[in-house]
Amino acid sequence: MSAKTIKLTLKVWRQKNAKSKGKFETHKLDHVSPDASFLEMLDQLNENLTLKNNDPIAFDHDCREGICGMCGAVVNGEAHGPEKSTTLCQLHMRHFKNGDTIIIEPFRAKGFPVIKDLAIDRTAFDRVIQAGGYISVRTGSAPDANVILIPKDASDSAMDAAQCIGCGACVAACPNASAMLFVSAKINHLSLLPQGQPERYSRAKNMVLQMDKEGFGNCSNEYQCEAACPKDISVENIARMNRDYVKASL
Amino acid sequence: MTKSLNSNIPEGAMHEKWTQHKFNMKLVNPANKRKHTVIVVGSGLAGASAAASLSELGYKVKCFCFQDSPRRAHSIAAQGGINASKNYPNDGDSPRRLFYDTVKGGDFRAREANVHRLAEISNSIIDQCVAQGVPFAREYGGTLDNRSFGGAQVSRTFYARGQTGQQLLLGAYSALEKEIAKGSVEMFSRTEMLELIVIDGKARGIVTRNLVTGKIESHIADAVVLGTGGYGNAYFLSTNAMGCNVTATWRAHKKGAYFANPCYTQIHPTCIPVHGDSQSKLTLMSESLRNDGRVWVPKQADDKRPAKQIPEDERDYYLERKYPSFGNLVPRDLASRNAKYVCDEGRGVGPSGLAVYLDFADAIKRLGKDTIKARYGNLFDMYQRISASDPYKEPMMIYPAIHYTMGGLWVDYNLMSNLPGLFVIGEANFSDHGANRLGASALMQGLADGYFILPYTIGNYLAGTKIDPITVSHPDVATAEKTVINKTEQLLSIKGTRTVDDFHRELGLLLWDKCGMARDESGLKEALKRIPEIREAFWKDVNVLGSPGEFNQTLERAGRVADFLEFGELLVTDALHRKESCGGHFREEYQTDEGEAQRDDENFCYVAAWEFNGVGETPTLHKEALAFEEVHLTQRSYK
Amino acid sequence: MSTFKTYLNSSIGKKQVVAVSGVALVIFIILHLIGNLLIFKGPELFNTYAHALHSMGRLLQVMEIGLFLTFSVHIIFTIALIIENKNARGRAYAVTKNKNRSFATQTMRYTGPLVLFFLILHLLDFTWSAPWPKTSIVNGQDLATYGMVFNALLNPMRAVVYIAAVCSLGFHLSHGVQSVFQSFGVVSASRPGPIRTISKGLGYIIAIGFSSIPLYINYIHYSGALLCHLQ
Repeated sequence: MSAKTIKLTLKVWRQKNAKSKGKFETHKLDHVSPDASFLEMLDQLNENLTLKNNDPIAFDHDCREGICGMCGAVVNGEAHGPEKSTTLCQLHMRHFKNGDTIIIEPFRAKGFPVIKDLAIDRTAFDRVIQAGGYISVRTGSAPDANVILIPKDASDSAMDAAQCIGCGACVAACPNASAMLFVSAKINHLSLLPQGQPERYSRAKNMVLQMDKEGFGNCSNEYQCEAACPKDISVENIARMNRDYVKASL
Repeated sequence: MTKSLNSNIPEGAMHEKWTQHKFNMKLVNPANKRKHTVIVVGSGLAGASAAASLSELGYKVKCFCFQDSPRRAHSIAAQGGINASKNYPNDGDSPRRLFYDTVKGGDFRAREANVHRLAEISNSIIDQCVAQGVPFAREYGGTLDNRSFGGAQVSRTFYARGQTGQQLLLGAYSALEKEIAKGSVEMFSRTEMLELIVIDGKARGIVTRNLVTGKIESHIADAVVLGTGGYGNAYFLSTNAMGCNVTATWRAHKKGAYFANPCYTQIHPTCIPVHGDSQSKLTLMSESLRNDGRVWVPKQADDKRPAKQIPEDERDYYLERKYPSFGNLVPRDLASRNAKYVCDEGRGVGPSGLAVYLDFADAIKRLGKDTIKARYGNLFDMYQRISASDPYKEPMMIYPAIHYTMGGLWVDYNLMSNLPGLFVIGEANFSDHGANRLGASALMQGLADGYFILPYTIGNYLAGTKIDPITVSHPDVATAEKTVINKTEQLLSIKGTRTVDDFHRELGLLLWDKCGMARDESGLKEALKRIPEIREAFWKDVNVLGSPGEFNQTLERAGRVADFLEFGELLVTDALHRKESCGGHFREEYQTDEGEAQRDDENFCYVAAWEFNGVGETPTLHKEALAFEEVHLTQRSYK
Repeated sequence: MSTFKTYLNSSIGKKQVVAVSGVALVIFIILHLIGNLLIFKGPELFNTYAHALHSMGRLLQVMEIGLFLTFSVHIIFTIALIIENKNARGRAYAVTKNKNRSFATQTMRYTGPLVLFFLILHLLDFTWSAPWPKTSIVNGQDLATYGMVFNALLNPMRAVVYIAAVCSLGFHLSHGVQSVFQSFGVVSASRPGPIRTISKGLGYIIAIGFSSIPLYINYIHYSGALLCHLQ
């Protein structure tokens, strides 16, 4: 934990609401602690802006420990910034140098309209889940948990997919703003488990159709999503979804 | 008017109460269910499971959350696991043992009947979650794996890697989304409840603000359910999410709901220390670290040498010294309090002096780096990511932080508050943990309330209560809306010189200092004097920019901090009145010779439920006496 | 039928149509390369091969139409995807960083049209009548198809264009082939492994294989080796 601080130039996207055009705004920020997180650095900027009666920058965040999936911005061209497997809230300013210029943009996609500044509307993901991202079981109708035996590796693979935090970095990083990594992770979490089999194919079909309806782009197998994913969700999920989708459709 | 506090505990033997009560409760005719609307505020484990289950039963549900999606609620951050008395490992667990452990762990300040029901239901929760597709850890044979957690003597904790809360929440969320798709739950995300509508003494709806458009709206229902979490963020720095707040429960309290045991707060000993003024929240690391790490500080005050340069005989392994039989594994409250003591003596480490070492050097020497890596690799990585120090080489630095709040709105056995029609579930109620919550029990309680208790008890209320049809044009609705609009306008009109966070930080530091790990009368009295001053300064000098009709995060925060500034006073009042130490509430004046919490069962074996009398006015205390018929009152000892 | 229509309209469906048509084209290209490499065996064998092809008559026409349709489907569906993808982003980023994109992956959009441009040139050269003079006479001898190819590729400008084009094609395939496996869900394509190696390898083979022809022609012309052939 160092006592030195750094100075930064921040070019931040400002957009009053979904309809307005938006533009970059430049701010100088001094005395940034290298131990501060990226969001704490934005807090600091906002405190300064408020004290000067300037509208603070809107950005989404909640848990600040990398699990809720609420935060996210494109930092110098990378969703969630330069660190691998790290959400924006867990990115620390020690990864930047004194005098750096940082360009901060919202996740950009037609499926994620900007609400204000860096805050975006990701309800499209909720609607994709509504299309089939569940197992239709009523409260109270479950058999004893150990009646369903699940091989450890199947359970582990399902967990690998289930770790997705729904942040949308995959969409942000994809050159086509495709949501396939998110959707496939959700589909596979359930399709890898015995409980998910009865609805396996209808789920794949319906969720993909909803994803398309939301205006996300198409996958061109460039694997940028995997590189940006803070939870290391594998593009193997997309391959598996593609396979299930053909089976479901033809 | 003082209402009597009837906990409505059913008659009969402890293990038959819930079964009998379920039979005795009135049912709502299936055809009539869809005529009833239920509002659920909050979409965490408790809220999402309740909303989904009520909708499955046929009720019309409106569910609200302030986040952009119900999946983001802070239940998602729970790491360790969820308890259930399945006894799969055959190590002698049973609902009765879980019940016993929870009552004892809660330092005898919980309601026995509630805890017993929780232990009975625990098994159904696991069944339900597995059926939903929650990928719990498995054995090679395909059965569920269990681990021992938080010093429990049986392995009853089910887990999904270090993300159990996330997986359980996604299960409940998927059930909720299924019901939204069916059209029987209407979901309002990015919508914050700002007022409870009470008509003819019954909770009948809420006033909300759409956080994107700023639109103020009223929603009418036959019952209102609050699953809005705890108030740990009153302390500014906590392990809670940034948005966690007391607003929903506090505003319900101001409308007549009693607030119970607010002074019961849980402090977690193994968090990453504060790095500086820009710190916005604290991060918890699993306390399993204490299984192999040794806690120490220098013997000398103000010893600024790096850890490695401090020779062995100049180190104080204070937990091992003071508690030879439990050593570094003493319960959460003891570990936290002792860290505070050594830091108060000037022996704390790190740049702020508010940290102690958690050293793995001996464990690495004994077990090898690979074993330590296998056990704690992900935690070490997290620590290194945040603090940029390598815990394989340097000792970790840790410090306690507020993490969970046991207190909450008072509810009876049916989870209904003293306000008819207002139900409170999950961390938001005062419920089942008494003065201290055991590890892996929060997830259990949230889901028990939402899946298996509330859906029954709310039916009993709706079937047995005459509920007059009303609409949003009712004059009381307009009054409630007016209150909200006025408050918003007032906040925006001050245009002072200090930021919202500045006030929040000031309140938090004061609470942490005077009403944190250890409390005493003079400190609490000082806090009671200071809080109204900070509140007054806030309403004179806060700067909230922007307008009410837009996405305005400062305005959101200002409203929440305004509530913390009122609530803080109640928290301290409760702590001052409880002249005993129990669980998370430690009063310096009341400790045994061994430095242990000294309960006063003769005078304080009750739930303190406070009635609101106005901001700055002394609240009225209502007591619900606690009887311990099954688990006998004993004193803890860890020497 | 409506299920199939839904499939064709879906993102994954379109992608798979591009993949299937791509596979057909790759098979054609491989066969084409094998045939073309007969040029190393001298005019006689090459002309026999060309003659055999032309004497297929109807069958050849059917194959040509099939090939044309496959190309069209490949191109039309790709264009549809590109338009959708552009719309899906909306406003472009001010800065972008490409983390794991290979050169081949990044240039798919450019190598595709380049190959198309080359294809037209190629057809003008060897299949259709072209606005430029073509001759099959080499050193005073009519060498039929061999001669046409020889004369066309002897032009250094043309040779460079051809080599550039087949290299584009190689890049295009080195991404495209593994992409087929991913699009149909053969999991092993998601990670560096045999499928990706095969994909890259095929790209190299196609690029080097086709490039070798103009290089060879220029070599035999300028080294005088051709004369030996003709004798």
